[in-house]
Amino acid sequence: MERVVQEDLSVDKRIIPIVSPSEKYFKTNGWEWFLGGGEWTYLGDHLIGLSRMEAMEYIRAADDLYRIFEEGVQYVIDNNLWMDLGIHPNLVEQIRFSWTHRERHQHLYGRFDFAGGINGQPVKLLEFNADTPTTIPETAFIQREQMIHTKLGNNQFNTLFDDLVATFERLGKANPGKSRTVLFTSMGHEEDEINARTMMRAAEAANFEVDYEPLEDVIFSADDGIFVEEDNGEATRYDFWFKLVPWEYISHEEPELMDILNKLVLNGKVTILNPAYSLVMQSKALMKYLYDLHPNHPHLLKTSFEAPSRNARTKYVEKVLFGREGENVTIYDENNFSMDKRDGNYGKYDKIYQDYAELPNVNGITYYQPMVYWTGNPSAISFRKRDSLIMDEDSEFIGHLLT
Amino acid sequence: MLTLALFGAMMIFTSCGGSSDEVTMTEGLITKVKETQKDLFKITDESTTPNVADSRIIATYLDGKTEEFTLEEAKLVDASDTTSRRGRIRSTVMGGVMGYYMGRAMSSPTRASSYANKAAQTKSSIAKSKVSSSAIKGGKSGFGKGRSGRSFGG
Repeated sequence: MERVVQEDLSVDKRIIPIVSPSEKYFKTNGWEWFLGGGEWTYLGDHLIGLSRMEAMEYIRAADDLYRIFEEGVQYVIDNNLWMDLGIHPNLVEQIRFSWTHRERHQHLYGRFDFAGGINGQPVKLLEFNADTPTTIPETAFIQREQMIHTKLGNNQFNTLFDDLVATFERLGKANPGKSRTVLFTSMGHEEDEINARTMMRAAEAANFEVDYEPLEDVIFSADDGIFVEEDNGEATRYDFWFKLVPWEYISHEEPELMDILNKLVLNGKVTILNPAYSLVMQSKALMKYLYDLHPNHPHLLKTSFEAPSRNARTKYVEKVLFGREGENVTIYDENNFSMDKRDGNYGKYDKIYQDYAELPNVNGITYYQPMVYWTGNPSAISFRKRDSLIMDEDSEFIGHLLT
Repeated sequence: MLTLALFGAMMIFTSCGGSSDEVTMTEGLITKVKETQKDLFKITDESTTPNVADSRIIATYLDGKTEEFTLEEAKLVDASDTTSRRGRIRSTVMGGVMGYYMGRAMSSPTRASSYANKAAQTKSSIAKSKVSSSAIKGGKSGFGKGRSGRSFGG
């Protein structure tokens, strides 16, 4: 692979070594998964130093972009762009309903993935994880613990957990007719469960009664609601359901469940988090329309449904509309040769083509991808790190320090 | 028949397939109201008691005197009477959980204006609903089974 060195995105002088928090810290929190095993490590051994000005640029970009994404949802609804966005027809009515009633169907949280932003370089949006973002415990707690354990003071942009508590408080107030009961669900992968349980802690702090149950054990009734069976023959009903299960998975792979959820939401029996309209923000095709609407926007990359012509001599990235962990991504250089590529399980979805934007890096070998959490306002910064251009399932988590 | 117990195990909510639902209590409720200024009553606390027959309203007046009403006594107060002391107390408790005992629809939420403060209302709104699992209509589970090997996070 050709190495691309861009001095102005170099972070090699920003590496701040840390002392890892104790094993006991992870065990106490039920987070042994983060400690990895064998040759696999997930938590990096350093933080990345950011100036306050740089942090502010990321924060401003997230603030600005969220408003544009809201505008984009309305645009998709007004113009019925469901097919272009890869959204199954069985989800459309619920998207319209949840968007119309978004004061009650609140978008709890999302995460912007950026490029650029270091040494005065512009912040560029790679994508917005609006439906089921993870890295919540790492961002909210672990990077803070790394900083404090290494005695680096208390200088991070990180109010994520408090902000998540505030979002649940707002949710409760916006739904006065519902009991404060929320069930948290994921599909069984340990990382997803840890993330769901961290959200559960935030809801509990906001005076919700909470529980966690894997998707396969949750009882769904189109007439009566969402339940978890107890040992005594009773079942507990929940008025809110947090799902770390992607909407596109439910709509494409579990149409019967989709049908039940549509009835429950449209009849006001359940409020789902994140709401159905978050899938409009999640679809990478939305970025094509956002760019069309705002071609000169400083944080938007040119995005198209067609690959650039060879004559354009443009570096670009091919992505599927709904892909995760870098799967089904290919990065092309000016000569249309692949610079980096990942196969994957999401090839059935349509593709978009986005101009390439450089990530902060060390010597064009190790790349850092900045992330900003959104909870109604920007809440935290963190990074992913990988010795390749594509951030995949082997990426490490890296915290930050304001310097 | 669907049996739901709301607010802990306080009410049995019965539905026999039709759209009209009736509410039967399985536990009692004690609602405390306080006269915070002349003729203005607010709910300061709501707590359960094992027997429905022990349900009551305890009113504390501005002069510090207290008075208790049973649920039946409260129900007998004319709903249109908003001028008498009992009428005002009835109107206040109707906005709280006691309102469900007195016939308010389950779909109607509690009123913030009936409560002395947010904590008093929050206490009543934290409520788990329980149902006999055999009575869930058309309940289905097992979705996503066998697909748990990978992360679905972003």
